[in-house]
Amino acid sequence: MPTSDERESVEELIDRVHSGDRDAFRGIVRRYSASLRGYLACQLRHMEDVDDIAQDVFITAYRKLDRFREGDFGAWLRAIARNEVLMHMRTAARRDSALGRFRQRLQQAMVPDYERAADQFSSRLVDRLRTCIERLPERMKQVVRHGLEGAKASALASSMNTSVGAVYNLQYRANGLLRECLDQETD
Amino acid sequence: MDADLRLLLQAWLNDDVDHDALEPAVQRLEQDAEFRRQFMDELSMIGLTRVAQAQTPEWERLTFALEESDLEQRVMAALDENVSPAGRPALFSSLSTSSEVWWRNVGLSASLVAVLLLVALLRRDPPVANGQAGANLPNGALPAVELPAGQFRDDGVAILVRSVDAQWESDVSWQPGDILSPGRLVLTSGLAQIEFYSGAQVILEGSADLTVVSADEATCHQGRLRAQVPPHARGFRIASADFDVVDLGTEFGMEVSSDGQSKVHVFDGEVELHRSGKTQPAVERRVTEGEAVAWESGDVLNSIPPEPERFASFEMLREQSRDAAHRRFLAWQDWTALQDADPRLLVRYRYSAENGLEVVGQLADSAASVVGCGEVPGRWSSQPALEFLRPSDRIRVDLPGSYDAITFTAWVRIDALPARDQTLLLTDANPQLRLHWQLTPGGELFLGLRHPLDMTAVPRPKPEWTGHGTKPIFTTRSIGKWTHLATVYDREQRRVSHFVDGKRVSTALVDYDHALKLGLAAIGNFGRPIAEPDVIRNFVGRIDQLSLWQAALDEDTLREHFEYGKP
Repeated sequence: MPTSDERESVEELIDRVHSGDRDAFRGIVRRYSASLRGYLACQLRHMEDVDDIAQDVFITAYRKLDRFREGDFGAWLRAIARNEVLMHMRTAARRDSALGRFRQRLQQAMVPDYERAADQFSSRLVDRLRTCIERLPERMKQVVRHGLEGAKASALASSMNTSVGAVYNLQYRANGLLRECLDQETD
Repeated sequence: MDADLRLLLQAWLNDDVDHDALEPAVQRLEQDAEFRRQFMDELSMIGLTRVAQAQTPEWERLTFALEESDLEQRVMAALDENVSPAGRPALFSSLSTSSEVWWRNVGLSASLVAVLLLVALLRRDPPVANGQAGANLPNGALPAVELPAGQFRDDGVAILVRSVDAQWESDVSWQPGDILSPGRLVLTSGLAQIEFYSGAQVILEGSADLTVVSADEATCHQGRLRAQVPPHARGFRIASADFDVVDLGTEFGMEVSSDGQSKVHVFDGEVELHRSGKTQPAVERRVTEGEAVAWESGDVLNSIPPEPERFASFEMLREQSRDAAHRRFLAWQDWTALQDADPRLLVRYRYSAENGLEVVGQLADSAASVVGCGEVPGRWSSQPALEFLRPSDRIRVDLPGSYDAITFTAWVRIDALPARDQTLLLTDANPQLRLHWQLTPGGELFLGLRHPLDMTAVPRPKPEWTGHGTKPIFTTRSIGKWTHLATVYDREQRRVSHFVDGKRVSTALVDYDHALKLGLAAIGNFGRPIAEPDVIRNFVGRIDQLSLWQAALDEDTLREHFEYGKP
């Protein structure tokens, strides 16, 4: 059963925040956290960074809520997030210039694609994705659950008695199956 | 799987970047929209699967931001509005105007409302000692003045510049730096120098009884005084029962005996004598340098031998004042050395020219560092203080431990009263405690305590605040004067008490039954605010020491602190 937050439009929730009801902002966070985190997780390798920045974005949004005008609230959050990611990447680039340059270049090339993809992100999509992950073949599920960032790919390859390349292929195929699953669920 | 795609994904996931090997793939990405779409599909799924499988974040900072953003301000404003003296909205009218929704949504609990009621009642009739009214400062001349916002008024006409061994009638204790409004000054012994706003200066020798009338007029009822009147203050007038002395730019002495007989000695220049209370009649007599006159009974004005040596000189007073200040400084040093060894002294932060910030007391080894803050003259000429002026100025401190009773004391010089809170001590945001020791925009000394938060509770509980502030006691009169502030939290008694210059200003019961855990905090500034890092709350003025005592110090002890420490 949807909560009152879920029944209300984001405009109504914002109005409630303006009238002093901070709990309404929690409703906004619940509604947008999955899509914002997804948007950030496409761009940042570490989930800790994702959650840190998502939190900063919500704090900024809360403090600047009176500056939001009518429109797509998710897009407004992403605009705040873009700036945060940019700052984060500049800092990271200062620490490691080679890697930083690579990520900044990807970022510049992909900005419109991130936006388009994130338009489709929602809490419901993430919920459905959980179901889809459960339906994956066991070895793919293992790869998806494990994740391949950092040194995980080689560790996983070793534990699965296979090559790193094969693990990446499993990930690639799993992603394809998940997309299909999501499309079917949507249909 | 496309080789370039795999290369990019591997690089993205592993931070393993071989630029030369990657360059063709990156260039393709920049030029080929379809390739970008494929890459995005992979990134999207990687991102979403990670989110789908990750735990819901704690959002701790966000929770704090939501809970603390303007809640503090509003709770304190509520406390302020609801419990302030007459003339401000009463609790119930405030409740009705601020709306039920506000209370429900902001999450002020019934217990806090009960506390507000309790504090309101206590503030109306505070349990104060020695029959002192809650808002009275020692000089008793700081009435709250209702004026339109942004406008201020001050009826001061003179300032007490310095004094030596001065004792004042009854319990009034004028301190150097005090601004004087029109009114009576009764000096039972010692010397006091008064500077009128017109520029005229008067040394009063006890015992003496003088009424300050205006910036250029006083009445001497009894006692001896010396007046120095620069040319721009010509016309300065001192009246007695017999005659008015109108100065023409000079220096003269005046003596009024207990039976009302008046004498005038002119040391320099010239004065006019008029019959008392008559400003218009012809000059009764002009008295010039080296002359002296006495108004004998029977309306006879006789010449008498001038005796300038009988009147304390400005040079002598300056010298005596300097010596007296040095003696007080030495006495204070001895006394404070004993205090430093008091086991109840948790920590004292003070500043010296030689060692910079010094930390003494049980927590002498705790971390503390000065951020910003210029070195400026302190209470004593030989002891500097730290100046808090810019929003960045602060002393960062760490205060470990847990305490059932704490007394906060500080010697401060308030240099401005901005329309915002001014921090004395503020803890960083933490689930255990939020403590605000501060001056409010209304000129109140305030201690705010937030109840500990159970961060494991679901849903996360709302923060509850309690606190107690004085009536408005700091006004423009308080500016530029060294003042001793003390606030006591006594868990056993459930009381918060405030003291100014060693006198209890107010006491209230508080609904707070927790030991104080302070942790990281800042003196003179907002600690490390997460919710509103850009809110300016710095103290504007000087602090030359701030101490915490793990005891509820009583009024006698705090009076001793003031008496030994007053400059």
